[in-house]
Amino acid sequence: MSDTEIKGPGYRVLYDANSATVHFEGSLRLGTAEYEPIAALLNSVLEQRPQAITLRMTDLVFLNSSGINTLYKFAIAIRKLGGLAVHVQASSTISWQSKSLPNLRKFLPTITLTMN
Amino acid sequence: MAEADDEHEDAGAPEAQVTQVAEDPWQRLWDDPDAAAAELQADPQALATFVRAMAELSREHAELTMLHEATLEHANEIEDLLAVKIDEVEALVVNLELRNGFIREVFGRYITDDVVNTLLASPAGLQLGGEKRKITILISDVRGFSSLCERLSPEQVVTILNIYLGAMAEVIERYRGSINEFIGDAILAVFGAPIAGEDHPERAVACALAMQLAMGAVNDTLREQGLPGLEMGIGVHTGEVVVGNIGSQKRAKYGVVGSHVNLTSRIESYTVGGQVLISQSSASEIGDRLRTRRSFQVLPKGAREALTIYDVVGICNVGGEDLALPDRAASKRTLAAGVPVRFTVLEGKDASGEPLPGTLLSLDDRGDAEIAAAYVPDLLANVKLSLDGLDEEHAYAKVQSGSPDHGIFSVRLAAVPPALAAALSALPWRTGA
Repeated sequence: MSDTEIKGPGYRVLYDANSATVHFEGSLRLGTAEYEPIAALLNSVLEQRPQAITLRMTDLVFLNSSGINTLYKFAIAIRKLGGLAVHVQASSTISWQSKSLPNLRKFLPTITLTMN
Repeated sequence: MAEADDEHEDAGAPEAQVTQVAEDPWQRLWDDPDAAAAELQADPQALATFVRAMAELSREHAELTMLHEATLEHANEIEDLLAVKIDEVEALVVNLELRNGFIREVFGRYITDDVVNTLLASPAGLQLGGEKRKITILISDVRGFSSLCERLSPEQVVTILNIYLGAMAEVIERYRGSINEFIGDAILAVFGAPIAGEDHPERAVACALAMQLAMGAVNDTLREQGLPGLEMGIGVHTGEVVVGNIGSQKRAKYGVVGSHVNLTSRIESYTVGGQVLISQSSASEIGDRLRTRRSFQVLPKGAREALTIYDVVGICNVGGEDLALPDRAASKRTLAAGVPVRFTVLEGKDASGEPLPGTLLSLDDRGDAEIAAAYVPDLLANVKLSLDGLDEEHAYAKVQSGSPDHGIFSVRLAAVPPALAAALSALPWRTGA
C-alpha cells in the first residue's frame, strides 16, 4: 500500500505503510462532517489487516471535540475487529493529550500509550 | 414483533420498506409497552430475539454514553486551556499598552499610528542603534518669528504656535512624514524613516506645498483671534543620514543625524515667506513632475561646492494628486520720489555691520521692495533695513535679485514692525501705478 495523506490548512494526517504508523500533525479543528475523509483513511488502514499500528500524535498540537470523537470511534472499531495491537505516541508537553488520550483505553483496553 | 423478525431475515428487501418495517415495532413499544410485553410473552421465539436486540442496544448505548462523556471531557479540557489563554492575552494587552505608551514617548507625540504599528511589528523596533539610510528631510520655519515674539505676550506666542504647529502636523501626517522635532517655530520632519518608502522625495515636496497651502486657513484662524498672520519658508533635501534611536536606555529618541540635516537647514534659510526650496538631489528623484519658478546656485557655509536649488511651485501626480501654489499677482506701488533708507548686510563676506545708504523705489503687497544703492549685496543675503529718521525700527529682508551694473536690487521684507509698516504706508506713493 502506498502512503496515504490528507492535508489541509495547518494540518496533515499521513499513513506510512512501511512503519504502519498514522502521523497526526498540526492543528485539527474541522467540523464533524469534515472528519469523514480522515475516518475513511483510518478505516482503510484497518482494511489492510495489519498486526499492529502506531498512532503518532506528538506533533498534533490541537484537536477539537469532533476530532477526538473520530479518534475514539476508531478505537471502538479496532476493538470490534479484534486482534490488532495499537500503540499511541503522545507528547506530555501538549496538555490536552495527557488528559484525553488515556481515555482511548475506555474504548480499547489493550491500547498502549507512551508520553514523551 | 413478528415483523421485526421478518426484517432480520429478509436482508434483500428494498431499503424504504426496511425502514418502514423497522420503525413500527419500536413505535408500538413506546406507545403501549404493556400490550407489546403481552404479545412477546405469547411468542417465546420473538421474546428471545427481542432480548438479544435489547442486549446489543444497551451495549451500544453504554458505549455511546462513554463516547459522549469522553468527548465532553476533552471539550472541557480544551475550554480550560482557552480560559488560561484568554487570561494570558489580557495580561499581554495590558503589557502591550504599557509598551505602546513607552514607544509613543520615545518616538514623539506626532508620530502616526501607522508608523508605531509598523515599528511594533518588528522586535528590533526598540533597540538603540542606527543605520545609514537615504531619506528626505523637510525643515520649515516661520519668517521673523523671533522679532514677532518680542512684541507679543507669552500666552499669545503659545496660542500662535499651537494653532500653527497643530495644522502643520496634520499635513505632515497626511503625507506619512514623521515629525522629528519642533524647535520653537521650526519643524524638522523626515520622509523615508522610520518606515522606508521609495517615494519619500515626492511625498516630502508634496507635503511642503500642502503646508504652504494650509497657511491660508492658519492665518484666517489667527486673525479671527486678533493675532498676526505668519509666513513660512520650507527647505527640502534628500540625502543619506544616520537614523535610529539615539540616546541612553532611559532617554532615547528616534532621530536623524548627519551633514544633510544641516544642509536642509541651510536651504531653508534661503527661503522667503511662502516659498518651498528644494535641493538638486530631491529634484532629480522627482524628475519632470516638478514645477519650478526658477533655480539658482548657492554656496552654503561649510560646503565644498555650490548647490543648485529649485524654487518649487507645484508637483504632479503624487498619489494621484497635483499640487500647485497659487500664482499671486502682486500689486506694486512706486514711490513718487525715492525715499532714503539704510541697510546692513548681516552675513557673508560683506557683513561689515556698517549701515549702507540706499533709496527705496517701490514696494508690493507681498513685501518685495526695490532699492537703488551704490553697493548691491549678494543674492540671498540677509539685510536689516530701516527708514532714515526712523533708525530704531528695522525690518529684516532677503535679497531676491540684484544687478550691480544698474545699482538696483530687490529684497523680500519679513517681520516689519508695526511702526515701520505705518511709516511705509504713509510715504508719498505715486497714485494709479
